[in-house]
Amino acid sequence: MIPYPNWVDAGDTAWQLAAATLVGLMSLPGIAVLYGGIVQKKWAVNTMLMAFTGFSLVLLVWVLWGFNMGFGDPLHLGPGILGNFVGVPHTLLGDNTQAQANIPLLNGGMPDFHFSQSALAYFQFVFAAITPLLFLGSVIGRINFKVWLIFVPLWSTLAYSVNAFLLWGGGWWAQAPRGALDYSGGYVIHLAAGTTGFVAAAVIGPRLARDRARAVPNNLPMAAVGAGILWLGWNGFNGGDPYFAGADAATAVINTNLATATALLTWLLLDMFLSPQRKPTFLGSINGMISGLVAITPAAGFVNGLGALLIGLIASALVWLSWNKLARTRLFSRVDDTLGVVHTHGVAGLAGGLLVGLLADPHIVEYLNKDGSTGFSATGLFYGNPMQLAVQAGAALTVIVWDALITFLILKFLSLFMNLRMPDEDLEIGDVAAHEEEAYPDDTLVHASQPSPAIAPPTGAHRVELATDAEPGAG
Amino acid sequence: MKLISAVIRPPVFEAIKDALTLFGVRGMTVDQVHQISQETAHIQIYRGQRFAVDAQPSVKIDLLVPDDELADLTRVISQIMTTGGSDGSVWTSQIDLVVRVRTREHGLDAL
Repeated sequence: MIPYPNWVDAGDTAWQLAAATLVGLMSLPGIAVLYGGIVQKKWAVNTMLMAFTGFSLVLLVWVLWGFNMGFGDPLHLGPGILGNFVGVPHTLLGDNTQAQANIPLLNGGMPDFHFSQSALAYFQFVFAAITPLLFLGSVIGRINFKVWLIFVPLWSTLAYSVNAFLLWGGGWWAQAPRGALDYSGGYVIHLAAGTTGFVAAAVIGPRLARDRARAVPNNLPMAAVGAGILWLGWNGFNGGDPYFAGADAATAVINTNLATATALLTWLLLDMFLSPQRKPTFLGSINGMISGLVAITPAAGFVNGLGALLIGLIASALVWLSWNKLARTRLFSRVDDTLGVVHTHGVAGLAGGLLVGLLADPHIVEYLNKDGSTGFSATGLFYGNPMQLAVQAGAALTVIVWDALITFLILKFLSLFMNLRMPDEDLEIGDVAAHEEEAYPDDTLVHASQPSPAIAPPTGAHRVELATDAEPGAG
Repeated sequence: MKLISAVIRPPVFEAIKDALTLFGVRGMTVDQVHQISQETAHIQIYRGQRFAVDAQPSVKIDLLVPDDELADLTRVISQIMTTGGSDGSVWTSQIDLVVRVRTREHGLDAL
């Protein structure tokens, strides 16, 4: 007997499954505890539960129809982009998943896979799963939990599958002569999450004014755990996307870390020297870190080290400006994007996607020919290919328009027969009203099973009108 | 001198604080407390087990006032609690001595 067919490479398979697990850890527990720690104490449970349920819902969608809508055979809906817009939905439940991985439209455009369809499907699943968890950050603190349970599968089907197909499944934007670049999801994931979060926040409406006025975090050490898992988890996020455990995977990993460190320090310095309070802040540096991670994502294995450094620097500065200046403009201050996802993911993803159009270095090689010459690399404007920037802008616009439209339509549809928001009285209370659980229950004040026996209410004979309408001093 | 004490629901705290400031109150002491009351009892569930929680997170305000302001300020506080749809209680007590340590002022001067 042999353990696996000849096309399997144990190293590539092992790295793909490990990378996928790292990306999964970014969601659970990464995003769950980062967001769970940053929100007000009364929303920690609700936030974490939405993260865990979102992850589960996307997996079911993914194996039942989503994966093939993103990476399967094209569904011919019409001419031009419509013919290569989304894949034909079908399940992954049969025995076909042990066959060699295959993305039909990329056949011949990249080396044959060295792992099975299951490895590809699980790796792509964790990306599909983290995207709703990212835009969760925009709608925390008022979205009806039932709406979340319905919105996530619908959005994953109608928006994420299209994003993935257009850029990764060999769809219209990935095809020659366009060849839009998105190494690991600057557009498919982050620009999509920023756009969706912003539109969803606008349609669902703001949190209680009182909650907006005092949206302080409940557990910064927990946020530090989540943020740290995000950073190192990103080694799988970007390092897994060449699909082979080779030189370009390593390039992507070190570029990711370089851009992120630069971006964290850039934000820190901007806070120290240009912010009104002139103080270095922990949550500020985390925003810088995320901006760097997001911005390097579309570029990680296409740029050289200098390119990665510049992306971290420029993207962090742009997102800092967006966070501190753009957020004050009328449009942005009217929409209550709870954790500012439109900035740290939307603006950062867009910045990274455009910067790869400038900085993609043809000497950073993703795939080789058999003779060792360059098989596939990308060339940006600074290396003589101005068209790449235009293509990047076009792909970004497609993702923004489509995801905004789908988000708006799904939520408007759901609002016909359910409330998008929790009732105001539940919003006052938070987790206990929504789930009968709270993040930090007090064990001295609870007792098992039933409330203590009722005491007869006051008869009224001894009631005192204490200066509401009575004369001063009465009572 | 009198002490006004009020135990209120957290949502009305901001409005009461603002109103008292408007009436010239410069400072007060605030505690996070729990009210035990039948009306506010609720259930929490952890790992399938039901727990009764009849302790309601609340805010307690302690406010030292001159005698002639007692009625007005008590009325302000209770009025806001009523219009805010809130429960809770307000009570007042006699105070013998107040010392403001920083300035060594005594009595009314220390308020």
